[in-house]
Amino acid sequence: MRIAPRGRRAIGRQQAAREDRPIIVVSRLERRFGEVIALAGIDFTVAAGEVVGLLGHNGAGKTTTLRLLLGLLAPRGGTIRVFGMEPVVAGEAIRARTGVVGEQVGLDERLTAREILTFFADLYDVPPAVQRQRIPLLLEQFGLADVADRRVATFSAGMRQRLALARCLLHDPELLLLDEPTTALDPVAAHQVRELIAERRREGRTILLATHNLDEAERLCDRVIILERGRVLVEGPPRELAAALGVPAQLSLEVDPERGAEALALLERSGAAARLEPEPGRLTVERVTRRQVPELVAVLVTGGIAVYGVSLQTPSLEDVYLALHQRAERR
Amino acid sequence: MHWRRIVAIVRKDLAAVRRSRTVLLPLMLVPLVFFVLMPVAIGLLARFLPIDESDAQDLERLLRALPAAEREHFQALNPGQQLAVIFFSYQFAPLILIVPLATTMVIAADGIAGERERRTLEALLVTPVRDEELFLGKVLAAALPASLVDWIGATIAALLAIAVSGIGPPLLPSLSWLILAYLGGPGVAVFGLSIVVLISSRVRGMQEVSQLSGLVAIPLIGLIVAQGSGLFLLDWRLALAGSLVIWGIAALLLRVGRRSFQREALLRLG
Repeated sequence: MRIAPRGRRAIGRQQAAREDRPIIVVSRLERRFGEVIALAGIDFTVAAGEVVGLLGHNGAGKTTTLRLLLGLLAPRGGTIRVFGMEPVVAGEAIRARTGVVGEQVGLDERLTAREILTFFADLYDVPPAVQRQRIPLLLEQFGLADVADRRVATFSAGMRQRLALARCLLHDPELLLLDEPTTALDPVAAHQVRELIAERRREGRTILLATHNLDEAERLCDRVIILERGRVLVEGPPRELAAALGVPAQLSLEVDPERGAEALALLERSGAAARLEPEPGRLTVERVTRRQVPELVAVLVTGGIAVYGVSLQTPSLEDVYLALHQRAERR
Repeated sequence: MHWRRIVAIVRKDLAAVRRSRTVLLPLMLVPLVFFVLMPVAIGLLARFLPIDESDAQDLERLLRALPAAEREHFQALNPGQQLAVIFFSYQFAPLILIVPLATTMVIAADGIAGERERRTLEALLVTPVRDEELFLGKVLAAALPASLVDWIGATIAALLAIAVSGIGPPLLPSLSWLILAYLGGPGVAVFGLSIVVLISSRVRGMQEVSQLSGLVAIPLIGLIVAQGSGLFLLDWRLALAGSLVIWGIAALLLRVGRRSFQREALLRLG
């Protein structure tokens, strides 16, 4: 299911090019590992400058999708185009324009941060003159300048992840594929890494972020694709998914403090799952859709109760995800 | 083929090896035993070992296994010196091949299976480096230092043996020893390396690779035992033929290894 965005926030000049210039186009993509179906015909596109979250729990097909996009695995069906090229045929050219942070940071602990960056810069064919400028700059940007000549074995998990992010930017890639970049990090380190990703987003890079951290996806992504057992369950902007899918929200009401109990009775009589909050005159109604809000307010007003405040708490991406997951389970 | 990428892989693998005590220790101990202690011990044997009647008979039996032309050079030596030459130049000569074999296998196991064990392989696979560049980088990172250690070590061993025993060419070192050390050694290194590549594409860990690849040394032990039993001694023709055969097998196995060195296969095991 595809939820069309109702209006996008502008993020630089890349925004204008989004719809015109898709960086990734995936169509009916299939991949099996023996009898196990990893991807069962997924479709999606990622436009230039867009930040797209690939969501799903373990085994949903996120990592397989990223590996297929890089040409590390061959699809068993369907087509993939990255920068207009087929990864199995032009994997080298695609990887040269893509920065990747995998599930594992993949840093040799015996080497120093500077040695690792120099090594990967050579693999990405970054000219030595550019390396001499870019490596110190990245070390500085990612807060690693002071430890540049220390072995990675002495680094914390957060420092390693920052180094992995710096590594993926060595060749100034147009596309970033990030696979669970904050998994296994403590909250402070995860926050730092999210900030660094947000900066890359502000730079206008195209990012495909595989994650099962819904809060992260909600904060960073323009659009999310939710995968479940190798299928796309839904895709769309995180804030609009809930409304489009009819995932219920929570309604907070502020009424005359003297008539709270009366308001509660009226709401209950109309079939709403309401409750009184400890604060006088405050009520909460559970499982409310956007359409029901004026109806519930009308119930109170026609009952002669003054309504001072109405606030609809939009469901989080987590609520959407759980609702979708429950629906999928029921099927 | 991008040589800068290949050189980067070689440089990085060697830098990592230099900093790993568990890898570096066998790389220092094995050459020390075979290129320093063994020639010194054999040199001292030539000077101080008393030879009795039965030893002399065994010695005679060993000498008979040599071609007449090579046997002639022994006439000027005393029995102790003759035994030292037999040991150094012929009987234990295949032992020097253990050095390039062990060196290449330790580095290759660290660079291929070790890369997977440390979970650093995927980071390499997502770069534009081609399979053949990665393969060649790993091969050179192991084969070049193994060959260098072999050549430098063999030169040191020969000089030490000459200095301690007081015997010189063409007996110590013999032509067959020189062929084994300078031609056979690098061949054995590439052979061992191709075995590691083949094993690494089938098993996950460095330990499994080391255990399985240890079996490669068995034919060398067999060669030493066969010479000790008087079956034959490695004259220069046999040494040359053996070295060329090893190079042939190594090249063949390397081709097979290259075919198994595919991104998808490497990823599956990782």
